Amino acid sequence: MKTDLNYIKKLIKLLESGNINEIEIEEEGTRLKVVKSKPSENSSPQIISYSPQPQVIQSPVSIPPPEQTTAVHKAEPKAETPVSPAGKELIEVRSPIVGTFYRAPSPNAEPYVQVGQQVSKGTILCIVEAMKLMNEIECEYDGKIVKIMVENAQPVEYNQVLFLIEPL
Amino acid sequence: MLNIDLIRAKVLGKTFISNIYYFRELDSTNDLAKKLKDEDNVLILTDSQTLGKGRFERKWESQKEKNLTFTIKKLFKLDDGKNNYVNFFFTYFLLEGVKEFLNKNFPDVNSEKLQIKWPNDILWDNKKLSGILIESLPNKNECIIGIGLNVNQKNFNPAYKACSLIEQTKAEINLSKILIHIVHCFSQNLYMLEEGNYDKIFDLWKKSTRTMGKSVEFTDAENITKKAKIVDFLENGGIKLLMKGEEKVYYSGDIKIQDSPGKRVK
Repeated sequence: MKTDLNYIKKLIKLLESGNINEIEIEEEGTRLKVVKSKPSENSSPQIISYSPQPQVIQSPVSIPPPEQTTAVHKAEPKAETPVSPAGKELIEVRSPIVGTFYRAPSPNAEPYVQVGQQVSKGTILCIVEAMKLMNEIECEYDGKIVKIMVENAQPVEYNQVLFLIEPL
Repeated sequence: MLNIDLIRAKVLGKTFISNIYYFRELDSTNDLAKKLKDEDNVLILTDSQTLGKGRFERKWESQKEKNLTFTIKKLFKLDDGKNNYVNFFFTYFLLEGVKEFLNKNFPDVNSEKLQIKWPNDILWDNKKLSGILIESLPNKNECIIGIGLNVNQKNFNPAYKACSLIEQTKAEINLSKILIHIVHCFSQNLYMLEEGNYDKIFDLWKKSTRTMGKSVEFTDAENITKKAKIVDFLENGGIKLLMKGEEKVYYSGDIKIQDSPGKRVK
């Protein structure tokens, strides 16, 4: 099976263009599975597992949160930095404090940002609240939101990844 | 009406504040602070705040010329993850500033009744006297500290469990003088934050809560209210609660302290 990046990109395009949610291909001892994630979280397809050995299949739930990205996960060697479908390295925006993550300034307000949105340096991405101290997290780069890693109103740890951003 | 000449004379050059903005009327002192780009050590004052806000854009109502509504904007180069100490600091030293002012000018008033309600309200007899809203841009080290202190207002919306200092002093308080006292109290103790004396700040704050072991109603970040008991306060800003036999730590939410059973009318 051709497992180069162009082949994977073609599969991703196929998923994006149609009503298909999942593609799984097994050929010559190699298994590749590409799954479209929930539209509310991320509209772009996600490669859940790519395994050169058919018996070693990473299940989606076993992927730890920091790596649950639109990245190509090879069984070996492990990808260190998340990359976008276009192959660009993604920037991780991390929480500067322990607290509660909010996507909007108030419960009835629109979220600061959505997946797919273009952001620039200085755009407010979210609030992390601790003790009613509202920490507005500003974007430090120009780019596009690829993934929001935390649900609204959930607790976050110090240095936990909140957003993945594809730099422009 | 604030005596801005007196405030300027007593604050500028004598505290960390280097610039004062004063308005007869203003929508929100915090919002104005956000618009002042690249300014540090600023004090913003108004006689009448028309769109005062609390957490999540809740309203902070304050009668014209009766209370203090002000904002301090300051850059803090704190160690990573220590932003919450700005909150401990300003809550505790606001309480301390008010207490000192009362002890000096109204010695008959029992200022020991002042207490902190987690995380940053000040109560008198379980009624809200003061609220603080801190908005921070951590990657710029910028903190906007908005303070509302009820001073001479006599009537409150019965929907809020609020009170003011005049209920205790029975006499009008000079708003400019109490403000000057509070700003000096912050200024004299600011070294603790700047030198990273975190343990001391936390101890002072924690001792003033006096709510350990109390029964509370806790409303969490998803607006669900549960009965709980306060077990501890944590240095990272969390509150440890006992709920149905299980201990849980929260960083956001509202607590409503339940009256002790002895006070209830049977």
